[in-house]
Amino acid sequence: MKDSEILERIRKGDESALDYLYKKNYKMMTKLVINNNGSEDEAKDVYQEALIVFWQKVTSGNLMLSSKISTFLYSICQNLWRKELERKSRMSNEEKDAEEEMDFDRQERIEVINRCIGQLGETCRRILTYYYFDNLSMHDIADVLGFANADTAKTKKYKCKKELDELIKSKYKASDFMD
Amino acid sequence: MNQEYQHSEIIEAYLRNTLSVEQKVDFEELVRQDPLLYNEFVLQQDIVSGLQSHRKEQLKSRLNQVDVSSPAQLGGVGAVGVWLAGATLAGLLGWFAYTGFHDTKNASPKISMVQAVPEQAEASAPELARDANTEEAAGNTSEKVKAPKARKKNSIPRKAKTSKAVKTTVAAGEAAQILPGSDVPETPTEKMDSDVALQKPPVASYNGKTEAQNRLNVVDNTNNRLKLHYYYQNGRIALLGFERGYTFLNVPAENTTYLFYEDNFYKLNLNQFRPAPIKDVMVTDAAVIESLRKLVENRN
Repeated sequence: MKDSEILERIRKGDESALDYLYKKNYKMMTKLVINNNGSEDEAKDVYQEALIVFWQKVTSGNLMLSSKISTFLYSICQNLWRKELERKSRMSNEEKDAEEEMDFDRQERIEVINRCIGQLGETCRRILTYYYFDNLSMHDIADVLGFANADTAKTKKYKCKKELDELIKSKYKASDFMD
Repeated sequence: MNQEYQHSEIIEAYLRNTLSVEQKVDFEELVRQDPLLYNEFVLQQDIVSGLQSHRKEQLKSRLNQVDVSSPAQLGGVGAVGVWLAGATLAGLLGWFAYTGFHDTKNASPKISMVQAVPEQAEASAPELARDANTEEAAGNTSEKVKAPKARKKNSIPRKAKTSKAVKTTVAAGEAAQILPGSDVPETPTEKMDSDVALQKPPVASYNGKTEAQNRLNVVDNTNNRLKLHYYYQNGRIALLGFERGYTFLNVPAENTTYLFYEDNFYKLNLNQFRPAPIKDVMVTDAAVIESLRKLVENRN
């Protein structure tokens, strides 16, 4: 399959094209990390991260690719692995404690949000993640989810977001009284 | 309520980076001055961040399900699909060979393909591997193959010591068959003496009419003036000025041997007894090229 076809399919949110790309370049990309002091798990993580960055760029229409996809992926992997090595280096330089400091309230809130996302219906979850992560247009969301048109998708997205907001706020208020 | 809606709209626009520079500055100023708006903004930021993390995990989980050990196929076509495609292609080629090239008196509806690599110095006795059932299915019982040995299909040809040796036969129809073709021991080209080379043991043939074609294959690179020439001598093909990597495609039903070299096909003339450039016999018919190309690809 040609790069142009892969890009077109990803742009429309076709996840099977992502599977294809993942499989096709797996050995080359993971080798990059493994040959540079990385473990197999780290190599896999880096490659998956790189592929997701690539996915997000393509679906959101923010990518003008002037090279082969594999070349582009390779450079993302290189950057991610370089950053990871730098992070590891900092961690070993007694900055570990400072790195791990977290805002407890915020962490708790993120957990509440994640639980609420999990409580949404499948369709709502998909609409919201396609919109906020993939940056798919309402037209593409309608196509992927089989809605009549972009307006239907927009209305559904509004209702789903409202449902999520209310769910989270209700949990918040309840938890405020827990103590 | 209306103000709350307006706030959620502008917060979303800010988080999705769709505001102009001026609008951004105005919004940030507003957030600084209004603690309630600030709280709402931070909450919305976390919600969007949560949705993004959720989607990321979902994609990662999907990728973790992908089997990376087998070759990539789009649309979920797995090994079975590949096998079916190969079987279909072999069937089509068989039909093509039977209906297109079939000579009712003499020919067998089989196509053999042999790739020869001229650097194989180790000798091996020519062998013929065949499947008796296939022979019967072809309905060609009157012309039996005079093979020195018979083996079951899918058996491994000898000459395993040579790393470059590739020898594949595609049977037209149901089953694969390993045929001798260029299975003649070959001598390193720089030491080749054509007279000596021509006295190699004859190669078994499964069809009397194509025996000459199956007697291979002399490569002579000693004459620099004769590049990419060929001729038949004593029923054997001699190639002049070739590098490694040529492949012979025997089509018995058509009583023809094709040469595949550097991405071109050449239809060798059995009556060519003097060296002639192969470019004179280059195949240009697109349909023939296509079917031969499929035959070459099918060997893999």
